[in-house]
Amino acid sequence: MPFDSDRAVPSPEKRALFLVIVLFIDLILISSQVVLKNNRTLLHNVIAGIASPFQVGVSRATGMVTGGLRRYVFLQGAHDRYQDLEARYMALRQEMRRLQNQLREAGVAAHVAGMVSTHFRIARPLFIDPNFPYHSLLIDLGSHQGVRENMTVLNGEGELVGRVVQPITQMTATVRLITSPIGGVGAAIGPEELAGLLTGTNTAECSFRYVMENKPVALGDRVYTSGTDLLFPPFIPIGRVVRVEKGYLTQTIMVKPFFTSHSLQKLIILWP
Amino acid sequence: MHRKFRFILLVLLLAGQFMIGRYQPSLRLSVDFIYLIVFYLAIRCGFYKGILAGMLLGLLTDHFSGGVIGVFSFSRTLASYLVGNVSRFIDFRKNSFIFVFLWGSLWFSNLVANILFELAFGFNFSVQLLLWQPLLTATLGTLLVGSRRAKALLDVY
Repeated sequence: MPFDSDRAVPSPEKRALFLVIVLFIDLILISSQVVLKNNRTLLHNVIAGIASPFQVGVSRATGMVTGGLRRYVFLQGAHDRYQDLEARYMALRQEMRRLQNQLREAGVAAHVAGMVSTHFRIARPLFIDPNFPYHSLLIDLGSHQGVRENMTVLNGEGELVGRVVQPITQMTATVRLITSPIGGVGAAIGPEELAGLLTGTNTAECSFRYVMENKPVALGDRVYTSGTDLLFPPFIPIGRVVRVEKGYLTQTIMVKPFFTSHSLQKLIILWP
Repeated sequence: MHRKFRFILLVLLLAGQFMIGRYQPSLRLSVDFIYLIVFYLAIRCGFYKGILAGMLLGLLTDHFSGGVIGVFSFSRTLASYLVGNVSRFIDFRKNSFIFVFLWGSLWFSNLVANILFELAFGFNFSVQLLLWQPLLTATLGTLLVGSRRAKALLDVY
């Protein structure tokens, strides 16, 4: 049959390349429909696995360049900054001693000492989705560095940012922010330690729920973790109360997390 | 005349598969008219067009079979490659050769599709795909080009 001997036959290499390209396109199509256990497609996982080392490389390279510039080029004002940091350090040491005394007097020092982590790693954010800036972010530490699911994440000021969730790749991990509407944080308000549940609203404010209507809550009260959720250590500052509305049985309390006002250039991952 | 006849035949085969998928969905895996087009284009149109036809018509098969997009495209591309390479050694004047070649290539293609379904999605092997579809499609294909007149119109010789 009809094999047309006059037609120009492509070389075996070209034929093999063309066949492989077409089959590869088909495999991409198939992998975009295979859903893995982490509810993401195989294609998504493969792309994340391929792209994360590049993301980390670019982030570290820019970090090295900007760090070098800061250290060796923009040295003016370094002495003033050092003096300022020294003063802040002294003030913080005094405050720490005062707080330790208060905890000791309250009889909770041992409890806190048992729950607050002393091991941590510094991470840097790689990517924040501009469409959902209050949902999650990607950091430059992954399972290779020992990052595991549910690890607590703080900002450089030691204020709660969120926790590590899947997907965790070798070099990156996802941090779900406390402003995300998924999940919640066991929290307490003010000196009365009114316990409740803090949930995100996908905005710069969180909602604090389950506080009875007759309990006193004032604007500006500090909110911190209670440790009741067994995910976050207790007494980590979260934010301040910015709005209180009395309801029928409970109050609607809006909390502005501290981390939304500060830079997220540096993150602290607490090891359990 | 030949070109017009071929065009009408290809449209009828496509329409047939569409009608089966729409009005007799239980039979959509029992016969594959689109594979007859893939087979014909693979032996008639050369390497590149044959492979592309295998891929694109495979996507159409994926759509009609209600399965996963890409699986039949993958397997039909491989079958098209196989048919294109082997067809030069086949004597298409004998209908028995046409039947065996059609049956074997479609069986191979469906076996690849089944393995992909099993590996990627955990689907079971299908008797319809591995037994009935190659048999029925090969029979229908042989009947279509069985007569000398049809062979002449389709340039199959």
